[in-house]
Amino acid sequence: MTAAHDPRIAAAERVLAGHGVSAELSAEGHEREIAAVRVAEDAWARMLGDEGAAVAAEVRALGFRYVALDLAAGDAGGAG
Amino acid sequence: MVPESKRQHLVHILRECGSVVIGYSGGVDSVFLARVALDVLGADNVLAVTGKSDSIASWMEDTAREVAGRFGIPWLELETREMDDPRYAANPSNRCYFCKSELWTRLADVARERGLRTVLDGSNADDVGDHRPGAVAAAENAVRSPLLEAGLTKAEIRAWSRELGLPTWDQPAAPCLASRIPYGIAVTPERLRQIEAAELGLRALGFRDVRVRHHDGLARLEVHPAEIARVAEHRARIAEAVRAAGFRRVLIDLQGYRRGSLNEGLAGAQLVQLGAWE
Repeated sequence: MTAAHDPRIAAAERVLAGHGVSAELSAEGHEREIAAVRVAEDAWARMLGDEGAAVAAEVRALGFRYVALDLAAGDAGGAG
Repeated sequence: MVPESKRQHLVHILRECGSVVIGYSGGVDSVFLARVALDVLGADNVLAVTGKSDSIASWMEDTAREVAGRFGIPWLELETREMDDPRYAANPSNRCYFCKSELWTRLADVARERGLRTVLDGSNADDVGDHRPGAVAAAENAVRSPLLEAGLTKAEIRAWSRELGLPTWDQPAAPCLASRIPYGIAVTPERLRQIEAAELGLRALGFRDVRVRHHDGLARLEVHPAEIARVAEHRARIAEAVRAAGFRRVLIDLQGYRRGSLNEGLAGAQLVQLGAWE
């Protein structure tokens, strides 16, 4: 399945948007089991706190085994 | 608090064993077992053996050596060759079986050569029920687990270790480096070196309980929840340290470190418990 056709990506982006966070997502890993999330600088603190754990639980429920934040800075627009 | 009955039970088991070779990784459990065995049986009847291979972090080897020297535990380092076994290198979910088969076979040989009666491991009561194919290899080689037999939990072993003045009493769990590679991705010396270099870099930044999961060029870091808030503070240096180890992309897992995370989401049938090669 290509990234463009992975329905989990759009669904995960909606989860993040529901938390007020704009993010770029990709499926990584040899089984595409990792949801790799890139957010802007101003969303970092929230993602590493309790809200990030809540986001992870919701995104995992979409079929990812792991949800992880990219250490590279994103230009996804940050907190909405 | 460690119940007196468990203390007595452990002493009884060790006396029953008579003379012992201990699989001694430098972790909390095996260091504790070696220390108590030394007290109960005396130095002539105890040999702690550390298996040396690419899958063992250098800091574990250092701890094993230092603690043995400090407490007078007879110690031997033995090179193991699990990497030469293609069944191990292919990294199936029962990978640990092949590694432990190599280790326990070698330790059984050492015990025989030195006239020591029993080979011991440091499994404890909390290990029961985990996915532990290595336990099958232990059983096949008649390895006994006195801590488990005495019903000692990890918390009790830590408490007793502290009483004994062992520096390992609060040491984080430290399974082998191959445990950072998802099943199905080959275990290679190069990948193990990358993991060790990245974890050393993170330890240098003050992270104590951290795992670098190797997803073939991508590093997924699991940091203990108590330390995860510090990631933002050290973000650039973390990325630099991990990339310097050879990873192209660095991710921080939002759930933090948890034991056995690479088993998550795998169906029971995918977790091969027995030693049979399939």
